[in-house]
Amino acid sequence: MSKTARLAVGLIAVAIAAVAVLWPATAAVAHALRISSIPDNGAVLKAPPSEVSVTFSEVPDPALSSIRVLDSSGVAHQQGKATAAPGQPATLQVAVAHLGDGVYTVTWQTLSHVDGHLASGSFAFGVGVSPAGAGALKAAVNKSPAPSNWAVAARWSMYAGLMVMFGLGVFRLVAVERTTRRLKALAAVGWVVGAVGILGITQEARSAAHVGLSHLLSSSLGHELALRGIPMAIAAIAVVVFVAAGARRRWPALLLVVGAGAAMAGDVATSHAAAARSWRWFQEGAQWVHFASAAVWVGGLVALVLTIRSLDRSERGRAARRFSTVAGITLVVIAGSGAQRALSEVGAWGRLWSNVFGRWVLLKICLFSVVVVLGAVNRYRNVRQAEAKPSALRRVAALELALIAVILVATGFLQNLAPATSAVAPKALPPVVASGHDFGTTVRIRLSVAPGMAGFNTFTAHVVDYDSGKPVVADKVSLHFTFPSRPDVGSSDLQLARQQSGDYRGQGANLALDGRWTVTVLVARGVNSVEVPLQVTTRTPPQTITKSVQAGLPTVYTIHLSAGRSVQVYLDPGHAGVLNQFHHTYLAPDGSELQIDQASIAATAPGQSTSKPLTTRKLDPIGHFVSDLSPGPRGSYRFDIDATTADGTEITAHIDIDVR
Amino acid sequence: MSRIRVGVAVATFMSAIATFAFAAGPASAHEQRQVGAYQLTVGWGHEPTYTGVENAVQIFIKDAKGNPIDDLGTPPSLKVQVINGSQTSDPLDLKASFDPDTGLGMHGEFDAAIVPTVPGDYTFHFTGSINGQNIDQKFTSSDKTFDTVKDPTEIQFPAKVPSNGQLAQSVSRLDTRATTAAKNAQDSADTAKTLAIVGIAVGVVLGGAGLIVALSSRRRSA
Repeated sequence: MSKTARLAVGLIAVAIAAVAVLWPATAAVAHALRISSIPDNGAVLKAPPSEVSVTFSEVPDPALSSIRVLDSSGVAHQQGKATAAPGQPATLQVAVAHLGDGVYTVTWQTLSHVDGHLASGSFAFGVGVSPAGAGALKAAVNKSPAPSNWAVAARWSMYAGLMVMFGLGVFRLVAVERTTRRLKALAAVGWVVGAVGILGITQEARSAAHVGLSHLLSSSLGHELALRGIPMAIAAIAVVVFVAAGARRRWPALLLVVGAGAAMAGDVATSHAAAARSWRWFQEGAQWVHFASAAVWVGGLVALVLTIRSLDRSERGRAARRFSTVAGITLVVIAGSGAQRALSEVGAWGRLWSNVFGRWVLLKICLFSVVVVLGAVNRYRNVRQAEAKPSALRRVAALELALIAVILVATGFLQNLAPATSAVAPKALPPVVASGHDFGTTVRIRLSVAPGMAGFNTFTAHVVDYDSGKPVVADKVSLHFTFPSRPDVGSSDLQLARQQSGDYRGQGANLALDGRWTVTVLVARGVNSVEVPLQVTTRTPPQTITKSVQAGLPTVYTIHLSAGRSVQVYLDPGHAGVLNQFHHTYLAPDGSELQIDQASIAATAPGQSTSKPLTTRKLDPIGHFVSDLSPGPRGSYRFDIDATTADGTEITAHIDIDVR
Repeated sequence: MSRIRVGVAVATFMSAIATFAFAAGPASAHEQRQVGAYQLTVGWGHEPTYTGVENAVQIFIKDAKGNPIDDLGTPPSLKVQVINGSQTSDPLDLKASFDPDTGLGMHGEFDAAIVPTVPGDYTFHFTGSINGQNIDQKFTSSDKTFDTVKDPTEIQFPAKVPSNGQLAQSVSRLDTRATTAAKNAQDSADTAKTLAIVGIAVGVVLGGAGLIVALSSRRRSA
């Protein structure tokens, strides 16, 4: 065995060993991962929710995704299939039947609309009881099945095929003057390998998602197949033309490059780059450039290895030199675009080691570095001898190709894994924070309320001396809750316990309703006891608001609520300095008016921090109300809506409307 | 006959009033406790309880049969101390609410006037005896007993004005800050004075040295 052969065997063995090390650690990540949910993991609700909604890191396909709400005995309580929230495709919601007190587990499964990958997970919440108290609370789980070997092989096949087609087209355009039979055959083989890869990817995704052939085209997997398959079909025409055209014609090669490039763009449109939330066009562009530059290098190298012997002496040298120049440029482009993509998908240096995705990227970088060294050997030693002795060039190039084959395996895995940036654990919602001090300016208080939604919350008070900022040690710190806009809602108290950190903490369901609460903090320390009144506005679930503008009429806003309900509002006339009437009509999912027993509106004027209740009248016997907004200045007014349906369901919403 | 009817009606009306007067219990936010043969019901005289507003420690005493006790013995020894944090008041006398001379007031009720000045929980410590029955009982405000004292801000209208206690705290803080600022200013002034003296001294030394150098150079040139 020659030295080169031994070196080749050694390098490939190292690469395979690296793949083997990384291979088993791929099961814990996914793509359309849970970012947040309502109710949140571990939440304790005072009243049962009418629906459960989960927001994911990528847009899921609602038709192939599911949310199940199970009680402790495993009985499902969701009603119907999960649907995308209006205006929020990354959020799935499902209605639930009336839930009694108990702990509920939400299990979800998603198929990413972007890349077709499966993900699943679970989290728990309680109604009336704490899931922690029931011993059921665990960290929310995000997981997905490990990519199968066939899925990786299919991706490898697609990449190899497309790269060969694209690269040999460029090779024919810049390096050689005629299209040899081997080049034609290689183009055909490249197309077949690529097409097999596309079919394999679709089949694997279909199998994993249990999608029948009859539903394939109507699903997001069909959409992906079309994105990859249609350009591939066009590329088939280019291949046919390339094969059939005369050897001296250059334009069929250009056509082949365009066809293969389009097919590559189709794959990019279903890759991680397409899931970018900002600068998507840039991310997709960078991904395509990375793909294409790698294709120029890889496909060109394959073409060079296969055809160099069939070229005459002068053609050999010219082809090697020209390709070597192009390869040198593409290596720089590959490194640059690859670094950009890695930065985007890994996000932090530490994740190169700590995250499976990062480790695969690291392996790819290492292998790429070795290939660059081999390329340099060819560039500065063997290309000069290519005319007389092409075998050395071929041997090193073959070694490069072997390593590239391993890099493509790594790439296949990377495309089946969630990027490190999206595999990061879901972030908890930031707490609602209120700060203030007593009249005598003796203490400052920062009260954090987590998660800050109506229901069970954790209250943490950071009490410090007003001047020195040092923590205050008090005999007792307690909270007194009142709900000014609803005097019928009783007040309540909560005593906080001192923590080792010096903060005071307690848990309770004192924020029973959505809205603005007055929380008076009592800091008891003998003659220095003080009270600090604070305003805490609960975090309301995300709302979707659509508006209808018609000339000469007030703008009508529709606030979409849970369970298909909505509130239609408008401000008439919406001018500053005059009496404005705020109309609010409550609608059922079918568009009919909801029977409303009570509705109240609190308005906050521009620049004000406190709301004032508006005088409200019922305009019809069902659910149309009007509230009077006194003349005020121009600016954005916030309207807090609070209504109760005839069946006792609370409706809360808010909207900001400009008064001109 | 008509006089009899009027008399009966008046008697009935008075009886009803008396019944309501005797049947009326203490305000709801009070703590009730059985101590020996007596039932003690303790709370604030006025609730909700606000700082800076005259109030009273209120105790209702009944015997085992539920009859209100108006006589605590002679001389009455039952007293109450009010505790807030580490502060304890002097023993306060409990005055009977019922005046046998006028017939006004509530049977069995005794009050000790007090103005709570800071918000928070208060403890009433009763000591002494009721007709020979020793009493040593503490009653503490809470959400399950009687009201915790609050600042009156929430019920003030139209303007929110600070209580005397809040003003006192504010003045105290301002005084501390003013003292600190004055001390800092004095320190700065002292430092500036020291630096000025040092500067002048250095100037004098350098000026003298310069003068000496100038004079010696003039002599040399001469």
